[in-house]
Amino acid sequence: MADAVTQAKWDKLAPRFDGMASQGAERRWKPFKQKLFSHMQGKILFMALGTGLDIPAFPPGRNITAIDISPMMLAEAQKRIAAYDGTITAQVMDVHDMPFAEAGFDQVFTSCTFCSVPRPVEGLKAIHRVLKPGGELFMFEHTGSRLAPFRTMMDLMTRLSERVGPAMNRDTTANVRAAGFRIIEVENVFLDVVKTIRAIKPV
Amino acid sequence: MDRRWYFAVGDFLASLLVGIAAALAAWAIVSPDWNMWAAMVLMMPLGMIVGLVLFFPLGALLGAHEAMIPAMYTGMWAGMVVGMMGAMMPLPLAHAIEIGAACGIAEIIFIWIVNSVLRGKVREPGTS
Repeated sequence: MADAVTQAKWDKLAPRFDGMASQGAERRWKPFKQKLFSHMQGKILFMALGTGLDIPAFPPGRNITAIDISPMMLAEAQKRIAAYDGTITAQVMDVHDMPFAEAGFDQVFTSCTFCSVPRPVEGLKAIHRVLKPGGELFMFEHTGSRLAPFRTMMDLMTRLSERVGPAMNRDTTANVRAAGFRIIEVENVFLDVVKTIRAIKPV
Repeated sequence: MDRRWYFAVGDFLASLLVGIAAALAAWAIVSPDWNMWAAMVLMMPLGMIVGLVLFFPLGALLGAHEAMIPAMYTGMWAGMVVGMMGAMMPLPLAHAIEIGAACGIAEIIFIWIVNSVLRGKVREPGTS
């Protein structure tokens, strides 16, 4: 059963989401996302597809299972899903409550997802469950900063941003570790705030 | 610093704009009969609010985080400095604009320097 509050928040944002994120953020981040998504192989799960802004950065010819908590977001994504040169099967689903079989995926990808998942460590444990042993987690995320001046600002902003969208101050790298993954690589994209994280489910 | 022209110039102009806007807001409110410390303390959050308001259009054009962090800090500094100077002496409008612009330029250069230090692969505890 999907978290109704989170679902309603993203449903409400869906019609305006591309206007906010498709120009600046996506243009700026596309090369980094393309590099991260170029690792896609095997049975792939993509978390929080949203309006499909990440799809143009996917390598062609992959067979991807995608989920999102918001049916309105996925409705917005339909054109991009149809235009993808490969297969994307998108389903409305809550990361906390995925009915997929245990150890069913080779890789899981996230893109600005764990700023918004209400219980991030539990969500990451759910991903851990559906990944095969030795399976990889690839994340493009924005997190809080470890530098005091930026951290203070992002804590302040989170009080506002969480009401309408994502949190700005999460320590996603620590959450990944807390969920049982082994971190392979962290690469900062902007300050220590926007980053890619590569982790593995230990065998 | 993003080496793509659109973002390099955009980040610079956005910071300049926020600095000038926050400076103008502080200049319009503070006069020499204000207590200097009160002016500084009150104009800091005002500048941040100006930065926050401008962040919405700028974030859509330049990326949320890349716009938000410099905008909030530029607003804070420009508001504080112009508030302080406006409380100390009659401050001409042109001078307030110059201070706001200088705060914007200084802040974005600071962000570029910090970003050049931080970006790239990092060693995390437990990284193999």
